[in-house]
Amino acid sequence: MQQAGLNDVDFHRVREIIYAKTGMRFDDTRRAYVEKRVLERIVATAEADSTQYLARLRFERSGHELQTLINALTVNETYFFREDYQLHCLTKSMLPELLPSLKRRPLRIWSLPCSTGEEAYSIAIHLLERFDGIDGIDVEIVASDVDTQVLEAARRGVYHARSVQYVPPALLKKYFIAQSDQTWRICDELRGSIEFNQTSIVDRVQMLRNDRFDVVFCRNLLIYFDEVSRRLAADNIYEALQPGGFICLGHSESMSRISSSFRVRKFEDAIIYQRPAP
Amino acid sequence: MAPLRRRVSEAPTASAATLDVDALLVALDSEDADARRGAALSLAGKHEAAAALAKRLGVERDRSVREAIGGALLRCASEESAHAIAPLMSADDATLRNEARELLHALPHAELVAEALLTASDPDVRMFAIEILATRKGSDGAARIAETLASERDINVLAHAVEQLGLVGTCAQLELLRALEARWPDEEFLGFAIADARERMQGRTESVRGSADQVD
Repeated sequence: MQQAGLNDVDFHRVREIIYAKTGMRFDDTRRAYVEKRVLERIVATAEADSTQYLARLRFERSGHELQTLINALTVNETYFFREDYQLHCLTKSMLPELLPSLKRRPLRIWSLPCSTGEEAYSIAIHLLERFDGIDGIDVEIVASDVDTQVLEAARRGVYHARSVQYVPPALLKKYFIAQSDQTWRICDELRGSIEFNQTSIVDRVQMLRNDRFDVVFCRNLLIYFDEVSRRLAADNIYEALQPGGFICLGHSESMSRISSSFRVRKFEDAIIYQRPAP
Repeated sequence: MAPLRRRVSEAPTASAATLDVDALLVALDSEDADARRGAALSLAGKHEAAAALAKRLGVERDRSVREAIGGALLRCASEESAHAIAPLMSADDATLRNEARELLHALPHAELVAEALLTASDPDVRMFAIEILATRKGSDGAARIAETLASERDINVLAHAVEQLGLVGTCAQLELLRALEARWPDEEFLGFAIADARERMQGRTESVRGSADQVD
């Protein structure tokens, strides 16, 4: 028989396990959301009850079930050219400041979390279309997420009409291939130019593995974190940025409320935070 | 599309992330800010490092390293962290005092150091201790704040204690407020604070009674 719900102790345990792994804090107001997904996973894994399922989450050596649950709990809805004022800010204001410091190394941009890849591909397309200096530099775009399922989707690069609704027809034709099932697939060349990998923003070793970036897009993630995780994420982002590098947050987020380490930059198109250069 | 290129991630290079605690504590006093920040981030959650982290916070000038140390102490979320941070509440540097205050507010074990802070010579520290006591669950915090009313001599600390008592106290402490008012008859400002606190405490008690009646 299917379990009706989680008791307080089990809910608390699931919450702590997810928090330790991802930094996401699910408070009591989101209990139904968490419970629904945990109960679905109990059925899917054919575990007898929540106690057995929790034991599996904790002790399964591969960590596969924990990853599956994380995948089920993360919010992944996005679309191409979302909050595109920051992309304009990137090409009009941030890059002109960054280019002199690059010398001969590539410009590095990080989409974190990248979800199903729309942001990373949008950055690539925007650079190719709107940045005059693109032929004079090498660019590396890395896209990371804690959710392995969305990373797979990002690598496949196939999108429904809703995801591409704000892509101008000319760009749709240029960078996408129409599929027979009314989806759109990113062209191979663009897909092959972005590196996708699994990274948790609260895992410092994983963060360090990605080396340093000139610009990090970390939008609408920190709103799901509590104060401790937000501070940790901010410290990890600071460490991941080149001195003088920029961090773009979601429109409702403010780095000033999390950390005093960053400098606030008010550009024409957007407010961006910067790791101070020495 | 040639300018866009893909690079596969490399394994993490030797860094503070891979050092042991002793080496990290040495790195925490390095001349290089990146090394100090890295050490602080790697010491996050290590209870045995709480004292060293707090000591470093007391002298650290680099803002990003201070942030990293603060975050590391928060992640310890331990009694050790609270005890290590408490002395910073009396620092000469106002920024440092504020940082210590914010950290203690965020720590679940702050109430353990509140008793010690109640005897600090600095009235601001005593006021902070009272705020922490007000966050204690149950009536314990209110009772302890009420006790301070009898011994405290600083009018600002007293007013702060009355204000906090107004937020968490019950009718059990009303008599103490009357006694306090009688002791300071010429302090109009304190009188207002007491009247306000009394109103809140009585209102809360009536609201609790009303809820109980509905249940009955």
